Amino acid sequence: MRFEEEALLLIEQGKPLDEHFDTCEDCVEQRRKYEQLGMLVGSFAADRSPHEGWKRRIMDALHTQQHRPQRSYWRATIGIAASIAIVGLALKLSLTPPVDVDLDIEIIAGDTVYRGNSAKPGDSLQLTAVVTGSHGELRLYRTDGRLILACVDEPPCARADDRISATVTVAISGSYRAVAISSSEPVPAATVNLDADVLTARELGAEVEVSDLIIVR
Amino acid sequence: MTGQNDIAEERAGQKVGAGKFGDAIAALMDAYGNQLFRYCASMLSSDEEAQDVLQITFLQAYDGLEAFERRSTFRTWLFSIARNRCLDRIKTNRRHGERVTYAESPPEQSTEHEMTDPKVNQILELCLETLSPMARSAVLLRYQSDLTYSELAAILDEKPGTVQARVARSLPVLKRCVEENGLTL
Repeated sequence: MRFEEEALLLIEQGKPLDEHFDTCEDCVEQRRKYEQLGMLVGSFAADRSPHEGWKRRIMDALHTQQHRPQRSYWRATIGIAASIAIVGLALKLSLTPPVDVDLDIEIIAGDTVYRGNSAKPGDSLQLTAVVTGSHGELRLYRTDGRLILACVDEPPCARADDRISATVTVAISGSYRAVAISSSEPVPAATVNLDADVLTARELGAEVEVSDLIIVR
Repeated sequence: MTGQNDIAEERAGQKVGAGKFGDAIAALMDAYGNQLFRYCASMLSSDEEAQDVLQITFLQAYDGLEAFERRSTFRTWLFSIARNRCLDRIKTNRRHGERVTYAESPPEQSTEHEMTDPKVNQILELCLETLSPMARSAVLLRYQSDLTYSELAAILDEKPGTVQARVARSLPVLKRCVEENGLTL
């Protein structure tokens, strides 16, 4: 039985130690050392104390907090008007859904799921996009000019509220990029040209997120 | 808790009851200011930062006094605030790229009797910094205060068993570090 593995926790728990620890010479020595260590930590920084006048400074700060000058009537009126305007603006913003997008990719290799930029043929990409605009789409391009996936809620995509997800097995070596689009307007159909599609969508005011390159080899 | 602490708790409670929050804070500063400063100085390895956190702790306590329901002692509550503000400060320092500075070479091996206190403190400070902030906090409160494990658990926002295990796991790390740095226990 090792002292560190067995006895330290028992000591902290206030439980009696096994008889072994009272008779084993090494254990008795270890216990003495830990007690010594405890005493050193207990007396560590005992000579340190706050700067002189620290209480007064805190009391001064409290006094300032308690005795803030009263605002005059017109200043209070302006304050209330500004508050109403801010609430109105916040309400307006909350009624207009923001167009935002977020894209997440995990690589599934057998039983292993990880985030990264390299995969092997036969691995799967788990794509998840959060699109808050009224129109959204998830796409996967292979950079040699192939559109692998473009969907909203039809298989292999599945949509739940503002989340679109799809799992795609990448069978062929190459470089891939996923794209998530969120827009308040309908999104133009995908072509095989990632750069052109992204440009078109952005020109229409869509939010677009393009993933890092994922190399499959 | 000591008798003095009991008196301080009672006095602060009376002041809060009477709506005299400034007086309550003054009583708590008298009773616990030095303990809290020492804890913060040990956590942050800096008296200047400990001074800042001490002030923040009491200002925050002042703001929360009226709502404080006294489910714990004032002392436990204050340590809990101080601990959280220390952890904030450690996180901020990390974000700003401040790193723990270690001695370039360990001090020469010395015996307990030969070693001067500044050296012991230097080694302890160095080794406490090798513990995670959570572990450091647990070890410091365990050995520097007379708080029970239930009180420690409340301060650290963990179960008593978790705190006990955390202390038990941290001690061998600390012991190994101080010995490797030349402190003979």
